[in-house]
This record gives sequence, structure tokens and C-alpha cells, in this order.
Amino acid sequence: MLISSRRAALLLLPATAIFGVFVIYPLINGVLLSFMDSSGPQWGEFVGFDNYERMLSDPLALRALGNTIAYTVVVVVVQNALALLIAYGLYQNPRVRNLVRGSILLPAMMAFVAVAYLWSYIYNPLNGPLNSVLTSLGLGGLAQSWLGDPALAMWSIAAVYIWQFTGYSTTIYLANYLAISPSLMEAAQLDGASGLKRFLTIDWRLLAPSFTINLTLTVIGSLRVFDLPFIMTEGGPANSTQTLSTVINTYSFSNFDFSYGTAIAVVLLILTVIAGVTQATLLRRREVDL
Amino acid sequence: MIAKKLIATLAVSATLALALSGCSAASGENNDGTTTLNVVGYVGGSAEPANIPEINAAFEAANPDIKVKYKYVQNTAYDQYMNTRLASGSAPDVVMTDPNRIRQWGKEGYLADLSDTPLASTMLDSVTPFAQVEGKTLGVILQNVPIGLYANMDILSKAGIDEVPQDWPSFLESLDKLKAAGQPGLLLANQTGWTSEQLMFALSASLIPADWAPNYDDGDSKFNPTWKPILERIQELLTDGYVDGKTMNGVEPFSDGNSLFAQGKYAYTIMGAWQLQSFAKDADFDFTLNPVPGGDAGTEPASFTFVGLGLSVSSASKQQEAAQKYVEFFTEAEQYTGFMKAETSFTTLKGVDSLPLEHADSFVEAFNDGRTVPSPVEYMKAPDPETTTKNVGSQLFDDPTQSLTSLLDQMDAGIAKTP
Repeated sequence: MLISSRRAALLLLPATAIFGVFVIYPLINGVLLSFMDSSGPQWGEFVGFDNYERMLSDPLALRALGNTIAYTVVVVVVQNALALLIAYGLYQNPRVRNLVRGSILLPAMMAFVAVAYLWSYIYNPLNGPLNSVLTSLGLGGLAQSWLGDPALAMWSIAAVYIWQFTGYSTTIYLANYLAISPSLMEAAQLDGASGLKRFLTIDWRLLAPSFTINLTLTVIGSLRVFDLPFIMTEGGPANSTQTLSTVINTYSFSNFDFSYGTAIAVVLLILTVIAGVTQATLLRRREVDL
Repeated sequence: MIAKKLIATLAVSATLALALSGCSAASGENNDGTTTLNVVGYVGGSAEPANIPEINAAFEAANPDIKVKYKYVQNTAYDQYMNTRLASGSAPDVVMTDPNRIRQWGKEGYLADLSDTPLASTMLDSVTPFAQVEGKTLGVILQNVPIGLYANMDILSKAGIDEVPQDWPSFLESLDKLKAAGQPGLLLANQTGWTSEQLMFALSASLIPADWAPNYDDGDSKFNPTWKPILERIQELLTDGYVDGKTMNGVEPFSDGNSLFAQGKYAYTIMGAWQLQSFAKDADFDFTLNPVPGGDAGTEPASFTFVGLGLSVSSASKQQEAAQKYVEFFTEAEQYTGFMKAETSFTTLKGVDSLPLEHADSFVEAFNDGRTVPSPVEYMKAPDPETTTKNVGSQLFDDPTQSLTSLLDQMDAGIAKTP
């Protein structure tokens, strides 16, 4: 039964109102705040683009931007590559798949605080399990100050995120695999396509939808990374794990520089939207082409 | 019929939304004639009770017409919690503050002026400036916590060291003796840069003039070159093999570092007095908390105290009298003594003596002799000087051969003078 547009509008009103109050209004307010010089809960004076210009010469913000982009590239590539590999393996081995299907999601269900403390313990350079295991295997030369060395800290945190969410990405790839018609795979096998050749010519193309979803989610999630660097290293050592989200927190809630913190947040939003929309558009086009 | 159902649904949704948006701890006069007083703090929860539940119960018993509604909010979420409420005028009646929050919120007019109340004269003269903004008293500072050098006396004894060193050359000598005797030396767990920062502050008590920090914002004080001797001391520890800075940058101080010291794995560490009770429970060796031996040969050790939390009254509170009564009650000897004991704090109030601190006789002596100073950054009006000092500390630990002048310039640039 069709309903009139008036009734449709009425039905949509509650959700729209809630969306407007809790999403649109704070967004507009936030953007407006970024053009002020608020140093506390009050609004302050209008200062135009001063906060954005300040960001261009702020070494901390620029370092955080660089860290965030580098982190995003690494996490997206490694997490998706690992997830694809594991999904392929599970698809090929139904018995193993049924055993581990539930458990691969366990890390993603853990709270960030718990994950942070767990891995801080693992990474402890003095008596943590990682260095202890390396030493006991005769690989003591590989033992590091994982969170204390500026050259390693960010990648140590990236490894934790990858550990936590690879299972999540794997689940999405696996679902896509299982949705592929078995007769297609059989036909490919009969035609002599197997292993890497089959993966590149058939699997890769048919996994386009899950690839779109996973890439979009990992890019957006990585650009916004906050919890683990904040809890494990507070952006250190020597700003090596500062991200855009951690500096937003520092400027807004430690320095009471709300306007500048919000300006950085707006830049992060623009970055996220551009990255998300661009890749979704390009990747969806790929799906359509298939 | 459908339209009526829709309208009813919308009405319910709107009412719910309004009710939710208006939700906050209701303060004020109750129907039974009692008053509800909202108090919010970042201690007082199960992790750090600070004797606050007992104080609240005692206050209610002494004031049957006032009910205290206390809410604990974690310190890491406290500013986010409070800022929106302060801005909207729905802040609690009594808020927990500290010198930095008093400055920030006082500047915005969110805190009641207590200058003409008895509370203004309850604090020690050395502490009062931390509760003031432009000469107005906007809170009562309650916490003054020692931070110094913990020493494992059993390990020292095994290395033939009879007493905790009193000056820097003796301290280095003790580290040499410990190394020679195959005993572990100095633990400076420095993940996030906190420990290196505390060591800088402790050394400042011996190495920089007492008026440097109070004159930072309005005077000529600069980190470069005044703090160079402090960084040189720390550089010496790192380059002469006493401390592996890069490794220590990866060790978390509060759980991992304290655990290592409590297990007897190190002779010395830097930590606050809040750890005294925990070490007394966990450590099976004799230990002491001492001022840091940072001075030249023949000098006495000095250290610093962390001037921490206090209580303020919200300027928007409609229960000004009840709120002030609560803060006054908190500062009474019986209540405040319970708080000091729970927080292992020295006194901040006139007429209330500090409690003896077990395992910390030498620190108490230093405090009574005037050889302790408040943390230097607490004099500074810049909103968050500690982010800069911690960052510089972790940089020095990562590469102790780098230019100290460059690090000191970073501190001057990162901590803006705010006259």
C-alpha cells in the first residue's frame, strides 16, 4: 500500500529530528567554533581562518598529520592483505573454518583499554613476553623497546590495531567468498585455474563488494585513530605516535584551546570525507564494471 | 486513525527527548525541606576513595537538612564532563579543581569568589597563590603530595651503601657501587615521559633559584639557560650507562615500573608518596622515600611536592551557602586529616599538622626544613606545560647526545608566558 508524501514525511520526522539535533547541529556548531578564538567553553571572537593558518605552521599538528597518513596506509594495506589471505585459507578449508569462525572476531570485541594494557605488558622491554620469547629463541638481538623507540612505537601500535581488527575484515571477506556460487569455482577449476591464477582472475574480481567495504572501513577507522596511542603512549615518545585525534584532544581538553582543536577536527573530517567518498566511488565503479 | 497514532507517537518522542535533554543531577530545595547538594570530583571512586565517602556521610550527619549527591568522574574525562556543564550553567554546586583548572575556569567566571569567606584564610601562605586568580581566592587547595626518590635499603646494604646519598656526586658513587656489586641501580620507567619530568622537577629544587618558577609568567625566567644543569644531570645518567633511556621510554611507570620496584628489582626509583602504602603492602624489603640528592657535593637533598586537587564552589550554584558549608566542613581537622591520610599528602591548611609518613622520615624532615618546593609548572599559567616537559624528557631519554640548548628552547617555546 502506497502512503502519501505527507505521511512519509511525518514518519521520517522523529529520526530526522534526532539526526539533526545530535549530528547536524553539533557539526555546524563545530565548524563555526573553528572560526573563533575560544579558549574555554565560551565562544570568543571571530578570527576567520586564523586557526587553519596556524595549523600550517604548527609542527605538532603537521607531525600528527604525517603520522596519521602513514599509519593509515600501513594499516589498510597490511590488515586487508592479511584478512584476504586468512579468508582465502578458511574458504579452502571448511573444517578449519567452522572451528575458528567465531574466535577470529574475539579481539575486535575487546575494549580498547583492555587491549592497550595487554599489549603494553607484551611490549614491556624489560620483562615483557615478546622480548622474553625472542631472547629464549636466540633472537635477543631483535628485542626492542617497542613503545619507547620513536622509530618503532607507531608501528608497534599499528600491529596491535591489525591484530585486533584483521578478524573483523576476514569475516567480511569470508562472507563474500561464501556468497560466490560454487559452480563458478568448479567451472574455474575444470578450466585449469587454481591457486594464485584463480585468485587473481576470479576471486579478486568477485570479492569487489567486500573489498570496497573493508577498504572504506579501515581507511576511515585509521584516519580517526585515537584510543591506543592515547592510552599506550600519550602521543610519545617524542611525538612519534601523535595522531590528528590525539592532538585534537590535547589542544581542546588539555590546553583549553577549543577553537584550534576544532579546526584540526574539521580538517580531519574533510580528509576522511574525501578519502571515503573517493575510494567508495572508484571501488563501486569497479563493482559495476564486473 | 493512522494520523492520530502518528501524532501520539510524535508527542511521546518529543516528551522523551525533552526529558532526556533536561536530565542532570537535580540540585536544590526538596519537597521535604532538605537541600540536595551536587558535588563532583575525580577522586572518591572505588579506585581512589580519598576518604570522601566517609566525609560525605559525616557532613550529612552534621547537617541533616543537606543531602550530598557525590559523583565520581575519571580524571581523563573530567574536563570534557565539566566544561559543557559549566558553559551551560548546569555545573554541580561543588567542583573538584586543581591550580590549572582554577585558573582556566576562574578566568571564565565559573568559580565563586571565596575571598571574603573564612575559606580564604585557611590555606598555608605557600599554597594560597595556587588557589587564586588575579588576587581572588577561587578554591581551597587540599593536596600537597611528596614526589621523590624511593630507595631499596636491602639492595643498598648488599652493595655496602649505609645510607641514601645526600648529594649528586654521592648518588653517582652509589650507582657505581651498585654496578660493581652486581646489584640493579636506578629505575626510571619513562613511558609517556612522566618520570623524566618528575626527575627534572625534583632536581630543580636543588639547582634553580626558588623565585624562578613564580617569576616565569611575569618576569625574565627562561628555561634556557637556567635549566641546563638539570638536563646535564639527567644526560649524565643516560650517557654514563646508569640508565638505558631508550629502554626506559618503553616501560610504563605506574603499573610496570612500580611492580618492578616492589619486586626488589631496582635500588632506586622516582615516584610519589601515593605509592607508599602499596609498596608497604607488596615489598618484602626495607624501603624509604627521600628527597632527591641533586645538589653539588656537601649540599642537602631537596625535592618537590605536587600541589594538587582542591574544591571550589560553582558561581552558578543556587546553594552557595550550603556549598561553602561543605567545603568548610571538608577543611575541618578531623575530616581533612582523614583525607590527608588516604592521599598520603602533606597539609595545605593552617592549624592542621601533616601526618607522619611511614618510610618517609627524611622527606618529612626536608619538608619541615623548607627543602621542598611546589612543582615549578604549577606556577605557570599556560594551560598545559606538562605536555612540553614530558615530551622533552622522552626526547632526552631517546637521544641523550642531542643538544640540550635545543631542548631548552623547545621548553621556552612550548610553554607560553602568560602574564
